[in-house]
Amino acid sequence: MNASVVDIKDLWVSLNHDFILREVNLSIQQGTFLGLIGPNGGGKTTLLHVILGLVKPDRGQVRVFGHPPGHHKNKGIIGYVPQRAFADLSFPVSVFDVVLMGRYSKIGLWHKATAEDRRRVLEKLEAVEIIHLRDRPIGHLSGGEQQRVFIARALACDPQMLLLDEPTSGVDTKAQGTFYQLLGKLKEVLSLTIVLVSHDIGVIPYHTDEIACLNQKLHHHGKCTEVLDGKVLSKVYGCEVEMLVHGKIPHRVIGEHSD
Amino acid sequence: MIEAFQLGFMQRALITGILIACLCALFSVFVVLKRLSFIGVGISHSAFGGVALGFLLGIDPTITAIIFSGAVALLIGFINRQGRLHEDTAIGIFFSLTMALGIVFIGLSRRYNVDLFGYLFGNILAVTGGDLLLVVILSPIVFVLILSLFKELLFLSFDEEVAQVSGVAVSPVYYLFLLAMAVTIVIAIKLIGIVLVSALLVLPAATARQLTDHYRGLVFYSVATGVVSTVLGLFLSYQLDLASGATIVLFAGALFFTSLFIARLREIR
Repeated sequence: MNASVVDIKDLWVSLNHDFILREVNLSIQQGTFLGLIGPNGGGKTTLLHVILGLVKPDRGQVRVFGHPPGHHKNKGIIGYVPQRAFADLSFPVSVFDVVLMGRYSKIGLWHKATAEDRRRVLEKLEAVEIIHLRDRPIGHLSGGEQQRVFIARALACDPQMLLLDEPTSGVDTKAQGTFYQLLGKLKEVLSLTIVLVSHDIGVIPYHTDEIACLNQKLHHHGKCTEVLDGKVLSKVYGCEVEMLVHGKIPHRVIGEHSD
Repeated sequence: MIEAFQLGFMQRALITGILIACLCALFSVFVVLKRLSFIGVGISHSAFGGVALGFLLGIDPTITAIIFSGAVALLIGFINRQGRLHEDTAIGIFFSLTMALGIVFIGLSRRYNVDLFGYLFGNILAVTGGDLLLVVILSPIVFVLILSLFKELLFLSFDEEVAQVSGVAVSPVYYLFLLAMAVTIVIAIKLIGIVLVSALLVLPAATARQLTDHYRGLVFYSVATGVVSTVLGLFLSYQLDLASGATIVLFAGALFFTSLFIARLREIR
């Protein structure tokens, strides 16, 4: 039996006087690759921010590795890859510098990076297969390569859990496929728990162990095979959802329209 | 040029000028990277209120200005972190209020002090032995503080959210930075003046940014730009009897446009 690393009970969060999350109950087991899907504005990023301790809940109980979110004992055991748009990509730093930032809290105030820190950074760059780009300015990389840099930075403090927010936005379709393969590999090698937020319902189920559908409320949480039900998705997205099923013979499943 | 720098007041101005230029250039790296140029304007103008209070109470205006600007810097940072008001709104409010307070204080003190113009526009003759001592004592402290917080400041300038999540003490580092910047701005006011000091917090790193793609180069070129424009600006202002602050800033501006030209040439090649 795996231990649960995230435990959320009856979570309510409001932004600007409106509830963006309502009565959310979610438990994430150690070693799970969870895909968190739902429409824009459905509260996916807010839920990640709650887990990270960046947003305070209005109500409910949240435990991350047994502690309240943002607890100092949780520092360094959660790696976070935010939406790419937030970082200033003309920033004058190299790939190596960016990944080293992930170790700053371990290095500590007033201290300089040691040879061991540098070795760890190179190890992470190797793990995400971009060690050859280490001296390049961050702005000179493609979207897919930048995403790998940010994953390496999140891994730099040797976390137990990795949270990714829309990691494939701005990444071309071909690179997306290899990106998910890489995540799967990292999960196995580093025995990580992964939570990945995406609005891309077409891709997620093929790469994750479990899926949770979020649109203010948590509509479904379970194995990927269970969730591929048009009724659940229609409820989450608030409209009819067509599903494209990849397989030997690709086919489209069209939900029944109400009228 | 050597002749001019043999004069006592010119030596004082030169030493304070070089130390202040180094400090401002170091701050300008983060001002440019974190887009804080308006904070520089806000803090320096709020110093006017502090200077005027010093005149009113008969205390050394530098001391009252440091307290005044330090408080305003922390307040702007605090309001920004609360997220209720945008940073530029907070700066706009505080800098006009503290200027208004300054004007009232000057009126109450009933003496239109000539020194006031020195604070507004900078005057190399205004740098006293006491000022020099203050700069010589304070600048190593500020320098060491910023260098030892350098990696944290770099991370929070690049991606504040991730810096916080990864366990960097973002808020204390940011407040210390603002406080140190306020102190530096106030001691720079004697030389550059309230109106123009914020230019020294933007131009050096903006110039350096045209010449390099790495933060280490940014620090080097930024300090070089600050020191060169201060030394040449001081000399020229003495020779031509111009306001020292304005001449220094114009020199820094000339270096900035030269760097733009160099960057353009490199692109064409």
